[in-house]
Amino acid sequence: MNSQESFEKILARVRGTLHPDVPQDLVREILRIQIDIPDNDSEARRQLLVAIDKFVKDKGALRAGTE
Amino acid sequence: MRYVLVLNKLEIEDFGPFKDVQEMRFAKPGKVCIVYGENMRGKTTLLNAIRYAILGQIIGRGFRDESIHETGNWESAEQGKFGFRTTLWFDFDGSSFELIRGCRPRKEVKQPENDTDYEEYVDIVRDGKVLGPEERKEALRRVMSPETARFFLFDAELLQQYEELLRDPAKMGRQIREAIERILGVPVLTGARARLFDAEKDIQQDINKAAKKSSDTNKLATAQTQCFEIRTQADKDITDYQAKLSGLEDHQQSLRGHLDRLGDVSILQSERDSLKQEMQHLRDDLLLKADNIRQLNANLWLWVLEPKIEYLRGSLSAETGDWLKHQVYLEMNKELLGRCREGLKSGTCSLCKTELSDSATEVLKSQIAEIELSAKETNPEPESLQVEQLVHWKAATSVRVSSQIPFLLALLHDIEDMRIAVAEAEEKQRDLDREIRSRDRSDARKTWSDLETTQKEIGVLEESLEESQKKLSETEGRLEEIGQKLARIGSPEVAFHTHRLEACKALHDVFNQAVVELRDELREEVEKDATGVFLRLTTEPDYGNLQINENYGLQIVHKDGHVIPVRSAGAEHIVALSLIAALQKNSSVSGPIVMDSPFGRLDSGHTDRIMRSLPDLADQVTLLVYKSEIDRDLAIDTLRGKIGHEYKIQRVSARHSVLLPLEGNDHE
Repeated sequence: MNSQESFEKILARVRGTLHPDVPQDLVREILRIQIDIPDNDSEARRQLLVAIDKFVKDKGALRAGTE
Repeated sequence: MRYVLVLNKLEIEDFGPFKDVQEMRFAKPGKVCIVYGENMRGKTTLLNAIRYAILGQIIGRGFRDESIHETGNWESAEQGKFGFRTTLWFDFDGSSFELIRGCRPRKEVKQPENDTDYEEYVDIVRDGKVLGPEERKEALRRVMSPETARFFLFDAELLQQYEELLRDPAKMGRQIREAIERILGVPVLTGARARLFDAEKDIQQDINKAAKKSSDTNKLATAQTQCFEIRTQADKDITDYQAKLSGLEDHQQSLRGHLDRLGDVSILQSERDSLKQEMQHLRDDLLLKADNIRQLNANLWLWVLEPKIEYLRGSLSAETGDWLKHQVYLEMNKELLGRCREGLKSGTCSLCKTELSDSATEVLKSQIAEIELSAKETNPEPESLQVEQLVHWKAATSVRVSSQIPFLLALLHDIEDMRIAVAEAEEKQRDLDREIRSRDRSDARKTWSDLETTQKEIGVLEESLEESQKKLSETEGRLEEIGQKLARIGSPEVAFHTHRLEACKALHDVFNQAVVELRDELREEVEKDATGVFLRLTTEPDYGNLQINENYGLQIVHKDGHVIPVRSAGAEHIVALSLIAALQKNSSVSGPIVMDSPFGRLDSGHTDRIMRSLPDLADQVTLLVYKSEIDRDLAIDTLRGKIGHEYKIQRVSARHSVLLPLEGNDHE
């Protein structure tokens, strides 16, 4: 599935099973990477880790800000 | 939105029996294209040409790749022209494509002898622009993959494979299950899940590195490293075992298919026997027609004399006419003379019986004298024998030989057609004999033995796989414990990486759950759609619905809710077609279906229902059929108004077939 509609359909499905600690934007980004880079494992994994790091850092900053 | 793939035209050059350049147009969406061709004329080759154009694959019996060298046309090769080409024009996702793919001998090779002597070339033009290598690869990947192609381009053999899988879902081939999930779009989620799993390992390595920096956590890090090594080895073993298993399972499937075909030898023998009978009928008919021609030829010399005979017939008519007039005249005189003499003798009128006066008696006497004189003056009567001969000649020349010429020509034409039919049947019989000889008993014994060995190897591998999976699971458990300890006592850097790991695991859980939900939902959709198609196709009114299992196996459920345990070959065929139609409906790509000989084992009731439902099975349907599978008149009648194009594969020689378009009232 490559179209935007298919993407949204999958996202809606994944959203329905969302973990309380996992934001939709992060899920959307993981899906985008999978759809855009289906054949280049190392590049996909690099981008995936960047997305996770950003999420953890933002969460840490948010936590530090609220404390 | 679904991507729509519409095939427009195929051009093939020297592909199999299709010598030189030949073309075929596909029907527009909503219509059906039918190609009629007897066995061994090139129907499966045509399917392979379409498959080759899209995927670069040529599949032979038993799902083996066909040789490139053998695929090129033999007659062209004998004339020094090697290789072949396919060009496919199609529309996909709003763009027009021209896909050219072929094989030619390498530059340094003058006389190719095997596949390595050829090079393949591929060119794609999208909306008039030639694509570069990367764009080309991406475009082809999007249009169709080999895994999904099996649901678009299939023959009776593949359909039978589905039937076996549907009958025994426990043996459902890994490849087919994966292909079903691929066509349904599951890999997007399973792929993301697998990558998250790999990312977890990367983050664990980061934790390990950070833990090694502190003496408090160094020991745990070392234990963790050992676990990593065990896990890496177990992962490698599992991958190896799975790859070997996959290869062995494919081999096993291929051997089973081969054995099935060996079992089919009786079908070939029966085909050869009926062919022999057909040939005998043809020969008898040929003798009869030859005899008719001999009879016609016996009188044919009269044709040369026909103008003269016509002239003579005219003269004969005049002569016999004069003679007849004379005869009437004589009869009239004879009657009159009789009556006059009777009147004189009795003295009364022979008609009104009144007494004759003297003057009337005188008139009678003079009339008698006149008649007797007239009889003496007329020509003498023709000899009776001569008259008979005249009449006989007239009757004998009444049939015109020239009117029989069209019958004679029609007979000669029939004889010519019958001689060709006999020659074709003889060649077909030789092909069948060769095929039957190739399937000897020693082959069956060897295949059975090979199958037994393969099954044993599969058993051993499955045990090893299970062992490695157990080891991996234990190691994962140990790593989890170490991770928890490190999280408690580790440095801030370890804590940061642990947060990353938690986020990654949470994402992994999300995708894991999503895969389960997607599969469940898709199974429901496929079950619903397959049931809809099945109920339209089946001729059994007591069937209620189809029931799907985890492996996409389908069972027939009776209206009373009970699963039907034993299914006929026809029912299985229908179930397999229903699955394909349902997968088409749920696929992300709406594509064409090309079916090779799909009705071979179906009765007329099922064939009729499938024919009527064809336009609904997929947007674009192409049928490759042989005459006894479906008659053309029946196809036209059943699909009234829904036939886009029709072709006939006509034999020129054993190595040369021609694709001929057929005329039709409702064709595009």
